Amino acid sequence: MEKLPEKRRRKAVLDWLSSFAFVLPVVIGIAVFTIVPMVSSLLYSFTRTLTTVKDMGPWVWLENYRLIFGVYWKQIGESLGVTFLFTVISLPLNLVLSFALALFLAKDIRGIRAFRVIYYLPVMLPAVVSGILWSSLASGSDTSAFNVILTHLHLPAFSFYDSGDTALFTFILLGLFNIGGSMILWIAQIKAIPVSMFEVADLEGANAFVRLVRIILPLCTPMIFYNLITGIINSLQVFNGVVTLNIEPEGKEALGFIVVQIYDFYNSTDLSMACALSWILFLIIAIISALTFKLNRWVYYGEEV
Amino acid sequence: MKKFLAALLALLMCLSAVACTNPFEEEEDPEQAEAAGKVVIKVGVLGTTTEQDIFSRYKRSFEAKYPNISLQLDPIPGDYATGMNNYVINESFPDVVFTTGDQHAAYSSQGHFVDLRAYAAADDTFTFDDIYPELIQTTHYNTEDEGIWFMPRDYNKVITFVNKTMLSLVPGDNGKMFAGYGSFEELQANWDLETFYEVCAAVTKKVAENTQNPAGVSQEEKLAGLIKNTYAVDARYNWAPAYSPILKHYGGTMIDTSALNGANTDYSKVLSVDATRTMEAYRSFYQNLARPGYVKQSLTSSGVSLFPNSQAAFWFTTRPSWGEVISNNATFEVDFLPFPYDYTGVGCSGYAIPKLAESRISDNAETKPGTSEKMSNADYAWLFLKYVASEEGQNEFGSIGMGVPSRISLRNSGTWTEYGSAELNHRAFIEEVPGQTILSVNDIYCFPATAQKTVSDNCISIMTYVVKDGFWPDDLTLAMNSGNYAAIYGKVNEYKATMMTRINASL
Repeated sequence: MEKLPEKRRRKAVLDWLSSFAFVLPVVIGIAVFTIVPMVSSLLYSFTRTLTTVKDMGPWVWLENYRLIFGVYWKQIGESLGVTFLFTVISLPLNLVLSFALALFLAKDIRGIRAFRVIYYLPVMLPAVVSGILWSSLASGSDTSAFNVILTHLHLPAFSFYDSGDTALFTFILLGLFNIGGSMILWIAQIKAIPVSMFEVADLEGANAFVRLVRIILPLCTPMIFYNLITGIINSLQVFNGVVTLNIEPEGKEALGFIVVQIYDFYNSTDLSMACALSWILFLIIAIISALTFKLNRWVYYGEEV
Repeated sequence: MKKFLAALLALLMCLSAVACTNPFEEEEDPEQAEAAGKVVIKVGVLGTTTEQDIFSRYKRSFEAKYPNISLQLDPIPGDYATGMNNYVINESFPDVVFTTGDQHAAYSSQGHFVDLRAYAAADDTFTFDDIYPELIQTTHYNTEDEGIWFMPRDYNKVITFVNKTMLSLVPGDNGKMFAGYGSFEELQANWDLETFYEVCAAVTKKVAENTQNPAGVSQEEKLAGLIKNTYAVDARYNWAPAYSPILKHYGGTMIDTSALNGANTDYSKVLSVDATRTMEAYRSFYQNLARPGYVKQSLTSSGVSLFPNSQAAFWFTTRPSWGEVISNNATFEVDFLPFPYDYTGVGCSGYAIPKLAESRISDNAETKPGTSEKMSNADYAWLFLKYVASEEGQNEFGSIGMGVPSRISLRNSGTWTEYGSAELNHRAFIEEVPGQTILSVNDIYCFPATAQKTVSDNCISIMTYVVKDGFWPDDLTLAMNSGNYAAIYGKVNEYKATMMTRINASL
């Protein structure tokens, strides 16, 4: 092999080193803010550590996990059940509705941008603000905004967040105000479909349904997959929307998602139990995500060459 | 357009920079203060406007008294628990830290604070006897502990706030306003539990009449809040210092500390939420306050209390809540009466000296009198704590109106008695009511640390069901047992099971 001239060799080394310099901040970031906390939380989960004590507590090995699957299982199991129920209902709803909305808002009609902004606006609301807002608008009292509207329509008042029976339904329903986030991604994907494909479809006499099923949906599958994966992760980790709600305990208990339980352990100074439960949730999410990846043959990534 | 956006961006960045600057313009840079030969003492304070206002007043007055000490604000990051946990993890406690009677135990029991008894014993100019003894009780971290882990700053006894404007429009059976008493002074002269219920009944009746006939309600009554969805009392039944004394009055208690028995404690007995006498107390609570409609049967969802919005004639709360009324720009007149039950709760906030302050010694520190040893930051922090408890410090604190001094000598005097108006019944905050027992509400600390929050939260949840019609039979004279009162027993048992799970797992 021919040796490179000294000057070119030094430049190649410099390029090689500078490429590392560019990725270094990300590597450091991931190491410090992801890897280290993950490893330490795994270690904590095998100890009895309190948030009020600096040092790591004594090793108890699998004791925290034994408690979770033992005495706490009724509570944790219910919590997992509610979390899965929420995911199973809200995720498809979000996907379908945000896609339907995107189909409409992807059209080049005069003034359509204003609608895109309007639908995206709720996403920009800070979680605390929207928590306070929804607590107030959708409380079960007959003076809440929604109940005032229902009363004016001569409909009975609804308990919304104030009852254990209706809190989850209300939470899912009001969560739909944030579909603007997914909608923007759908619009980007739909807009990226070559116009020529629609023109050919028109020439072939394809109607709107055929275009949707044969062109738009297949070409949107990467985005469906992306929204599905992020949706699963976000739904299983649902938290902000609950803790910021200022509602009756009965309603709050019905929204006892798994991350709320982790937060509760942490707030009870039980850092090790919070870590153990976090790892269980992490494993659940990892398994479901892995399965989703495994079954992603329906995703169209373009013609393979 | 680009230029405009650039200018807008620059303006926003300038505004952000302003937001990051210190709100205390007179704040001296710690390094400058050190260079000027001063000892810098950092004080961890909550981020609320009131707490920071209190600190700035202390700072001005304390530094004038001790020119060689510079007090530096160290805002507790985030909410209290998160901020304190950060201090623990980073070993970054300031030299003094704000705490309260119901929040210090998690840290004092883990050795993060110094026991102030040692400092008091070595100081001839100070004695804890000057502080209300019931406040000293809240400075211990459990029923067996005798340490004094923080300096009580205020005396927060639960009393009754009164909406005088509303009551001046509520007639009694004799046609006189103030529910038949004619004036607030007359109501005050006759104030007891019977009178309280009598006024509650009159307010509820008046609100019901106005709800039935909204067209006939005068503008004055509307402005006073005598309309639909107003209640006689904002009883704060989701707050232990308010509900515990009422349950105790009716013979019950959710936490029975008399059942504590060292290592052999049976916590299912200590957690007496389902004891027959406690169930009977719930029933009395419901029967006397909820069934007649005196209290709202659900917690307000707006995050705002009823009273500051003129939606309640009475409010069971403590002095700092007055700030909520003021910040709500209330247009009604407020006055104060004692808590009408046989028991009332008391608590306090104050300042602790973290253990770390003992290991910090400033280059500018003086030597301790009679020794060659230099004073540590904890020694200087003690000077600040003594100042907080002194008449001078208590008057600085009292001048903002949101607290009652913890010092007994200021029981009837000082700036706090002049705030708002000297004509107000400030005595209600400190008055010893004949037959009334003052409870230090910190029984929760008899449970293992990791179970305390669960117990506290679930006890509150129980109270939210106690006030609901749906959980009680029509006939409340039935004997108290799980057959006659299945719904409320069911809920209480459910919560007790959750609490016992956490307690047992924490042991």
